Amino acid sequence: MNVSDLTLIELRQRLATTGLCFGCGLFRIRLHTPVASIATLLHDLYAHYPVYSEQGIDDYRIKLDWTSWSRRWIRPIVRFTADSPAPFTDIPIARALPTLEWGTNWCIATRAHHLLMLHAAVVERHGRGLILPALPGYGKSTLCAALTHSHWRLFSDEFGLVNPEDSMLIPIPRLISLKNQSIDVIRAFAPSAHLGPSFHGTHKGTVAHVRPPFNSIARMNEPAKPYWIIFPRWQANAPLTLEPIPKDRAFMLLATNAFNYEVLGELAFGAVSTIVKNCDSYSLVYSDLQQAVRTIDELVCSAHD
Amino acid sequence: MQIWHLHSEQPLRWEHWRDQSALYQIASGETHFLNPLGVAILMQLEFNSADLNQLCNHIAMEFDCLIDDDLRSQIATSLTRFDELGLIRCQYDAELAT
Amino acid sequence: MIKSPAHHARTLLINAVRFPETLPQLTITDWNLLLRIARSKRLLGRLYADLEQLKLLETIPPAAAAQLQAAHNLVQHRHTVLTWELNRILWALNELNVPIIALKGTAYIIAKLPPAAGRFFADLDILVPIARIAEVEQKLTEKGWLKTQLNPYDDRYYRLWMHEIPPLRHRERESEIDIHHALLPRTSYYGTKLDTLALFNESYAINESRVYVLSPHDMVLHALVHLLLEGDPKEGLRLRDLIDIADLICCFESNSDFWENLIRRAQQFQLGRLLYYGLRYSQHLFAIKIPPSVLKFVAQSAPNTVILWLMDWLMPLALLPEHPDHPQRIAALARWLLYLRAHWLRMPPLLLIRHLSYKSWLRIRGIRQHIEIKPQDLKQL
Repeated sequence: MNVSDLTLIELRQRLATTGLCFGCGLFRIRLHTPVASIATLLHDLYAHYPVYSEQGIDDYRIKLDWTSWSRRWIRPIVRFTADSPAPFTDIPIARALPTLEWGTNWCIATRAHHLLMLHAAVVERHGRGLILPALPGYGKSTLCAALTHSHWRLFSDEFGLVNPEDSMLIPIPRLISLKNQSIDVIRAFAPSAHLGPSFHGTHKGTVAHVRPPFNSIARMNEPAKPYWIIFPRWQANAPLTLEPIPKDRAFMLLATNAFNYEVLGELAFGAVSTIVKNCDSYSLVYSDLQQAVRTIDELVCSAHD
Repeated sequence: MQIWHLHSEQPLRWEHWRDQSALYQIASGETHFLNPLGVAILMQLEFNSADLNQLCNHIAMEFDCLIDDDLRSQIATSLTRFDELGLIRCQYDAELAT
Repeated sequence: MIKSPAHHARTLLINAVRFPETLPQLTITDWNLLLRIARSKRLLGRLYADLEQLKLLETIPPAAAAQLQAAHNLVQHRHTVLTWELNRILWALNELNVPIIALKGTAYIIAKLPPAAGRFFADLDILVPIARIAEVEQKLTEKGWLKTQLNPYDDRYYRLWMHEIPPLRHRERESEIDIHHALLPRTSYYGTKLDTLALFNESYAINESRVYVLSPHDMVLHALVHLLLEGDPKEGLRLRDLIDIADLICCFESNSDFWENLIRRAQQFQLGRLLYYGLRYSQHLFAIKIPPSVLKFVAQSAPNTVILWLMDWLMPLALLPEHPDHPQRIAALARWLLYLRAHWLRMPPLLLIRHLSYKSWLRIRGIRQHIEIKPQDLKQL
């Protein structure tokens, strides 16, 4: 059963009582919230996630609650917590969803130390993984959303999860969060993309979320071997360039940009070495999204043939 | 004279590429990136403890260059830095004798 | 009889710590609860270590094993960071020939003592004779460590009244080092009796190096001081600190002179009352075995019956976990009362004003209460 199989009333009820238990990749998340407007958004954006039974071992218990009885009615404010009180500031109800998404990412980043967490988007095609590491603002999520709607399977737009034992990529198909002009760029690029409402005035400006395609969630338990690393960078009016980058540089960029490279120590050193050894690495500068996707497709097809 | 040794008995974990190498140091959990000179010095010490003169001779042979003040000072600087990072340690001849 | 949720939560955690071999029999629902409580008490790494030693990790639900593995990886990383920082301190102080005692977590790790297993340690604490502390600080700053920037007033207050100097941090590494010259602040009632030189006289060297650890009896007393005098208002007394004490006692009791030395030192340092409480609650909660003669001796330091009755009621409330879905006001009150007590003993009221500036120093040190969730925070963890 998926979230979309619940009626909105059933979903609200679960969220407000035992919590909605659902699966995202390897993780089992239990989400509590009495906020009805959040339930409506989740019914749409979380539609494809499988609903789990109430009994199970939760990886993350996440709660979005009214800060107080009175703040429910006058300028409503909600609070994000995870297990115990989390050190987060309260937020107006209008920005609850972006906070829920960032807060959940925060929980994963601080706790999933059984896995190596690269700071990267990951997609897969023909069983081969493409890692798109990037610094924020370089257009990683935009490119990831575009690829996800052009025959690629979404693994993640934020966490390149790696099993440190065998260096395989592990999917965690969470919502793709798009910022500012990227929102319209993706609407134009992929009319089939399912976007949630735009939230204005967040730290990142305007934010909207792309729902992961059904296929990405249905196959979220299938890992993939990494094959390519492309460091993308969007630059206005720049002609497209795709240049191989040396392995030592790829190693350094991947390791220094990971969430928990230090924590995993030797395991992480081994895993990043293996990834870099097995992957062709490139840097991609682009201004035109269509052209960037086409270039990546060509690269992949030449490897596949 | 100072004799330089690798800091710990645990083997170093290397990853070599064309221009650079990465080194994982088990005791500290740190990853270091090294240029070919650094690699040559550490790999020589991995093989055998040595003093500055012996290292200079070895490096000059490996890189096919002359031993001049510049090379000596580069090697000496690298050794100081490796000592600070805890990759190597030094012992004096006198200490060895006792 | 229907047990209260709080009782169930407490029993679950205590049994997990005392009888890890029974963990494979837990139901999924109990695992779910246990992982939440153990996380809040920072004991996940401990459960991993116990199960690993018993070779039982394969027999528990994979989702539970994954969470324990994650905690274990974090703990191992901390151990590496702390032992390496100590290694570098010894390197920097090589020429000084000053004795150094590693305290608490770092001591357990380098002396390979049972409390180290699976335990997350935040800080590196070392003890140095007060006469040498200026030299040590000077040498470390020459060799790449940086001082915490404090205004002169705070700095002076700190050096005058505290039992440590403002922490140092290496310019290239993250960990902070706390350099102590005593185990307790001079302001503390107990602090004046706890003689650092006496501690050095009975400490012993690790691997023939210049780093020492406290003797078994002093180590137990220090753990008691840490448990009973250094609480946290929200967390109350830390259960893991009591577990450290129980672990240490179980490890040292086979030394023929351990109990004798423990009693002698408790008398010398006037820590009889603390020892009484420590032994009492280690026995109540973890059923550790204490010779009758020792019990008889420490009973002389027992408080009056009213206080004892109160402590017997407060201590388990403050130490043991609550059921996360059924928090009790009374437990929060107990934690707060015991924190106040610890504070009172550490710091007489006359110093409270000065203490406020110490608190503000803590804020400078960057213990933020609230942070705003931003996507970029993810990279700054």
